[in-house]
Amino acid sequence: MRMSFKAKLLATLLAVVSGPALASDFVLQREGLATTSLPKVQSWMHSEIGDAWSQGYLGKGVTVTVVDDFRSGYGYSGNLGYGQRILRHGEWTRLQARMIAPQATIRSQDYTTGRTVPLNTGLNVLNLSYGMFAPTGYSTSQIGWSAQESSIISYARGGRAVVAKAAGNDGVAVGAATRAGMQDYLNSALVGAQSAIFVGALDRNGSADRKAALAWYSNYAGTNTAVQDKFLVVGVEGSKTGLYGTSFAAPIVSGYSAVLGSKFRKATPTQITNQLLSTARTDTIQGYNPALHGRGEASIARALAPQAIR
Amino acid sequence: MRLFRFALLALFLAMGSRAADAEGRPVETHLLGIAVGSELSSLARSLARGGYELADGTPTDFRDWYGTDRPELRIDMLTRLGPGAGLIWGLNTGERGEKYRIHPGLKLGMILQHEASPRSTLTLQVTTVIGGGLREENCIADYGEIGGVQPVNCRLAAAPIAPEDSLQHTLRVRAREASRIDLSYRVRF
Repeated sequence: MRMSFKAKLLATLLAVVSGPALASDFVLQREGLATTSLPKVQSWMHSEIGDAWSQGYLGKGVTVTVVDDFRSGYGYSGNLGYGQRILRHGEWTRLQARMIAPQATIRSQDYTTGRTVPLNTGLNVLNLSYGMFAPTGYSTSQIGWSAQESSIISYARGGRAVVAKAAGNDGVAVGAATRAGMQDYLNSALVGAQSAIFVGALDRNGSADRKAALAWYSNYAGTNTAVQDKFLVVGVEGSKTGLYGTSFAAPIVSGYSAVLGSKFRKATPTQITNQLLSTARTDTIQGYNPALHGRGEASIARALAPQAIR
Repeated sequence: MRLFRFALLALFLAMGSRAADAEGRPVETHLLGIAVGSELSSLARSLARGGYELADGTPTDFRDWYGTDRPELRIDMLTRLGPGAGLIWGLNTGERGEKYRIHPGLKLGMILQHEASPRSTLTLQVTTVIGGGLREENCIADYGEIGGVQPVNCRLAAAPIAPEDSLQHTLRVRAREASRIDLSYRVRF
């Protein structure tokens, strides 16, 4: 018998905070990036993206749709380089994606709408910095997904959009139950999907001579090779931004996907996904282990580069 | 190569006529200058700075593509044709690296000098350079499943720019001062 969990699924944002501030306590400021300022490499970004920026073409022709919280009264205090401000969760993740891929078309959909996520022409990237939680013990086929999650899962399985999914902040393997006995079924439903990428957090941007470690809160790949094969990590430098959590890892990979898509205009979402996965670095991670770090740290520089040249 | 042969022929003819002109008057040829390198040679050196990693981390160094062991050599000569007139001529050997070539060039020109007064001289100098331009070669890059094998500007193969667009940045530079006219008036006091 098919069980419907729609009413019981708890959509949860994947930011780590001491306690989200109520928007009513603060004046929510708008993001303020889209206007006149030229993109600037920020300290929280990997230096590789700065090299990419110098050549332009960052995300042009690609649509990044951020499915997140754009309506609630909760704000998070942070600073991505434009001063301390309080924004909703989705406003932060959208801002991040826009900063990585300033020429991409950025769309927003509030995650509580439940409506099918529309795709644009050209390459589409979906950023999911939230999870869909319910008590563990069910299969994903038992979940009564909304049109929103059904469309996302369908796009990922059918290779119609790159889906960057924040791995989660419970310090468990993707697909496993949390200590409270809850499970992120959106994670589970995306396991094995051809154009889905789970994104975990490193404690900083890694390099060969200054390796990074998995952030204390980050979910990890686990022993399931289907997850390992689709798992990337990136640095989340919360000490610089005030924003912690895999919520802020996924938009980096979304932005990288857009940058990659603007270079390889004919590439499919699955090819973009595979390129990011196959060029990830393991030499920048302290004690690299596929069960923790999956394929390794995403490297936009290597993803853009040829395999061979003569 | 044909241009280079032509330049050598010009040099040979000029040297051969150094002893005397048709009327038996001595013809003087002077060496104006010899130089190693040129502005285009310097441009090639500037391209040699930098590099990037391939998808697997293998480093590429632009020096392998834009470096050379034999920089361009330029020789400029002046053959006096008569009082106040001279033929300027010279050649440059060209230069090549794996991904660029500076073609050999021939410099030809005239210089006319008129003594306007015992203390002043009016000089007109016209020169042109045939050949001598820089041409950058493209690379063939293999991007694997995502982009296939395609021509690309070697320097931009790892940049976010689309490979096909990078070809617009391939350098084709004419020799500097390809044609030049100088008019000067000198007063001695």
